[in-house]
Amino acid sequence: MKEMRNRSSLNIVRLHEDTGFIRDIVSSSEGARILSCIQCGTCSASCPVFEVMDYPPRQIFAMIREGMKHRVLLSITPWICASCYKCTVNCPAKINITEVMYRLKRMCIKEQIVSKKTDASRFYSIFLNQVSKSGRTYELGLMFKYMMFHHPLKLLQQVPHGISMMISGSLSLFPEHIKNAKVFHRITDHALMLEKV
Amino acid sequence: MKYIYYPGCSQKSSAISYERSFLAVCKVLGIELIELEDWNCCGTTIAISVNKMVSSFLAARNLGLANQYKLPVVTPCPSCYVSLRRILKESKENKTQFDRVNELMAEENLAFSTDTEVYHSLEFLVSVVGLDTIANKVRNPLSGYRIAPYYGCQLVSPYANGNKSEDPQHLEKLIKVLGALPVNFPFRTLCCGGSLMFTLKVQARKLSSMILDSIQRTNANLIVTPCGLCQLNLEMARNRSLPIINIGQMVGLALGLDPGKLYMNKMKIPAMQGIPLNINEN
Repeated sequence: MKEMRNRSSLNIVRLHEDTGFIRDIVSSSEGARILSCIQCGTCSASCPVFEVMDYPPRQIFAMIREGMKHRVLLSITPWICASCYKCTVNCPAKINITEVMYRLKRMCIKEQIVSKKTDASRFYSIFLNQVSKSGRTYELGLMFKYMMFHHPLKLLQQVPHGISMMISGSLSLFPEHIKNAKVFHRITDHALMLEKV
Repeated sequence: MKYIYYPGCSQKSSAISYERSFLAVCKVLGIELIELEDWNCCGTTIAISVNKMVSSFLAARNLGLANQYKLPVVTPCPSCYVSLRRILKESKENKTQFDRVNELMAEENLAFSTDTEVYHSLEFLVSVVGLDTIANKVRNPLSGYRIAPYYGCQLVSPYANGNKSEDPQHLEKLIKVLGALPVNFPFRTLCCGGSLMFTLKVQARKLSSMILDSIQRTNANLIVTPCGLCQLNLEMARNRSLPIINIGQMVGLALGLDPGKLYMNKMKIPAMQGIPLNINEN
């Protein structure tokens, strides 16, 4: 009973786990409402890709509240998230779930704790590197860089699609870039230094 | 009336049919679109997964460029739309973040304003241009077409405007005004898996197939989407399916534009080329 009376915000966190982790998330704009989670599971039920996650979103939120930092950051769930916002739209506690998933991925990268079961973070870094340097995405280059060495078979499977897209003029053969890509790159580099998460 | 056109990367590549048809449609409707000079990638769902500051800068720089014209912005890409509207929303709520992003942009002598209006092309056609204006220009009513309105997920996200997430109606309204019949199906707003195309292809295909299967069970003879990535992803999921066109192509057909101009002969999967223009209702 005493425990029930003390249930104000952070008291529900088990102290043997990492309380810095939950404070980090709760103090961010994305995670501000995370303690309002009622564990109803609407997020997991709404998720179109939950079946390939190791922990569905509801469980991720329970684990965050328990301060299970490593288990959460090692989960592939945020990397599977398709960013479709279905969970966010449906959440009765109005938790910005998709944005929390983004934040978890940023935390993984910052802490260098990324599951080996997915190489989505490698794809992201190739993408962001390309955009930071040229200001634009270049689909063909992105596909090659991501697949060439790690997924050569998949790359081969894409060839017929690639050719039909090229014939129809819907795949640019050459990269485009903005006018002053150098200054642009300097600013993105600066931004990376400014905020790590 | 003049507007700033922010294409986004895919409209210059995989979604070129969307760009060309949308621009052609706007021209007929008497709307002047000025392409945003020196625009950059919005960062989509990826930059924000890596670094918040970089993601904010990528989205805000385009608004900074647009701010020089003091005109509303229109984009056909739902993902760009969400990126731009997210930075607007966050900056309105958090002045510190707004200032920090503007500080970064000062190096290029740019500054963005939270007053800039950002529209997606569907919302733009339905709410800004207006259904009456479009109805007046219809030369080739799409009667006989039973069209499945596939929204995709981004236009019913919390950042989007004008559509109820549980029951959006913009596409249905547009389809009706063009003389066609909207067909209801359960997965109008289910994610097509587009963002997982590279990293989780099997799952992406599964979602696209679910959507196509549910449409196949209706009596629809055409699928329309307001998203270039959905169009590509659905086309790639199935070699034989109903033709999948974007809203630029759909409105363009009804306005009597040349199908070549709408890139109808350049659909990604050859089997889907040549949508019949006159379907006889039996």
